[in-house]
Amino acid sequence: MLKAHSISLTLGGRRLLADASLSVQPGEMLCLLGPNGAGKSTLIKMMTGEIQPDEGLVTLNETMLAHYHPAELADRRGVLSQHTDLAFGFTAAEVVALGDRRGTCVPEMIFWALDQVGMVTKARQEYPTLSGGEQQRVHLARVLLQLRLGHEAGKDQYLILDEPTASLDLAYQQRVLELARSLARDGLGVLAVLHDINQAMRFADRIAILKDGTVQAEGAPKAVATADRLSAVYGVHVDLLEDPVTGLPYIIPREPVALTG
Amino acid sequence: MMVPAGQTLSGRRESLRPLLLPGLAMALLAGVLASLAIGASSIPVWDVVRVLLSQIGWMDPVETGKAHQELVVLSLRLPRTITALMVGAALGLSGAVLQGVFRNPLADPTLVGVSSGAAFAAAATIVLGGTSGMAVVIGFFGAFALPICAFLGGLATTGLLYRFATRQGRTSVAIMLLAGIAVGALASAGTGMLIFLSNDEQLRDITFWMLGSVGGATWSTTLPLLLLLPVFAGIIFVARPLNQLLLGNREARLIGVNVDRLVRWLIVAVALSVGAAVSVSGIIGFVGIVVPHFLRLITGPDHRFVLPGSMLLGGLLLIVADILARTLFAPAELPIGILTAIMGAPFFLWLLMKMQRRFGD
Repeated sequence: MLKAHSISLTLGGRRLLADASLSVQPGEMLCLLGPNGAGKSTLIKMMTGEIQPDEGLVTLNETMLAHYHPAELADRRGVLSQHTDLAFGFTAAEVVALGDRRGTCVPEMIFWALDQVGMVTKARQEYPTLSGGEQQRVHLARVLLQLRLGHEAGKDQYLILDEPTASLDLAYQQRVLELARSLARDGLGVLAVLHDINQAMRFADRIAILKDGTVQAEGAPKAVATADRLSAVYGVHVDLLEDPVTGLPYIIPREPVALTG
Repeated sequence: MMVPAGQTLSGRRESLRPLLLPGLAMALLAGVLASLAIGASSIPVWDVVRVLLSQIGWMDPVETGKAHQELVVLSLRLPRTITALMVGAALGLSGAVLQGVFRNPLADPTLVGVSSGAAFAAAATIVLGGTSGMAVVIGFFGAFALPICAFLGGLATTGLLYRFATRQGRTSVAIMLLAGIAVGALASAGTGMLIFLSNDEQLRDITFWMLGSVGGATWSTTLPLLLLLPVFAGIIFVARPLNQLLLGNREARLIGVNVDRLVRWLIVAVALSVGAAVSVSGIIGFVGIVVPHFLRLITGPDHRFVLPGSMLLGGLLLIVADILARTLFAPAELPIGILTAIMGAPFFLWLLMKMQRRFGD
């Protein structure tokens, strides 16, 4: 289990996280929601081990992340960042191969990873010539390869996605979230930051809502995403309908809540 | 999953890769033999080979009538050729490394301040050599005062920049790049001031040094350069993590690269390589930028090919430039830095045009 125990962080006099707790189990997909500036990215960077909290701790199976060797951590969790710059003309397949820490992977594995994100036909295209969405999919393939090569029987693994759908078109948003869903079904713990609440409702096992550096609510999508709570967190009135196909709540944002004071 | 029909990971540039390093090694060998054969008195290549092989006992010693040839090859041309080879290899390899570390295809060894620091120290040694403080240094190091001061000046500048850009164990390459420009300007100003203070003879020495030459090579300046070979090996050894570093420090950390240790080693290695090269040859531009770019065009940016390739091609380029430098206006010698710029700059412009056509802007 990947777990943040009441972590806090103050940077430059600003309290970015205040007593936030969050845990991801193997086999589940947890979506993190929250308005801009809520502390989502900071919390994600804590969960990946990139920054250390002032108070509290983040553990992977009862061991603090800081105690893991970076290479060992790379075998246990993969991270897809929002944006990755790469100015050199690697082919898509070569970028995927960068996820291979040991230099042991065979072409079939690179094809497997590219196939997961629908990029096999562009394996040989140079990265700078790919569209933003295609580049993002190539990086996802790289992270999938990293996790697959790091896999060891009996050791759980986690996939952390920071706004994975931001630069994708409608079809690939669905495809990537379905992929994350199916990876979770296969035993991976998935933690995804999403902006689209409806997508989170559809794909998440659990939802956590972050505001002002604190986890306001956490639990099953239906229980957490109430109209009142969403209005309070996002500052807009919302209507809750029912998705005629899935029966899940469907959120429609309306006018902003009037500011008082 | 099976590889789908009609799909392959390798294209033209992958098919060139297996040929690249053996091809460059062969060309380099040919270049070395040519460099030993060509000169004021030209020596048949076969005789050059005989002289070399007899030294290691694989052939009988050359007959006495050819003792002069042996002297020219072994005492004059061989140290000079090895120096050109090592300097070119150091510059090519360092350029490739820095472009990777800074993730900037325009980075070259001058950016980490080695060259400017070395130039300043060299100018100081030449101009202030007669003053009491420097006289002690020169008295201590004798004929090696200039290369040693240049080497230390280069290392000190890079060390300063590195410290400046490092906070809590993390080195900001962006800060280092920007500080490198400032420190480079400062060192140039210092060098300019020394030029202003110099007399005619000192001015000629400084100018000659700044334009670069391997003409001063002797065995005693050449052999220490061979100490760079393990440094080169240590650089090529980290080609894979350097590839991963191209994703950015953050991403590289996330996939398990010890970024701080890697960057520290590469900066030290480059400072040693360029410092040593500059100290024996003066400033030689464009090798560090043209060579890696050319290789990337052929094989793609994978450092497992670009690094060893840059080492071999850099060495070859400088050997060829040195052959031209000492034959074009013989018996006068052209500074080699002029030749590398004349060959390198138009080629670089052509590369840029080609890249522009390929990627849009």
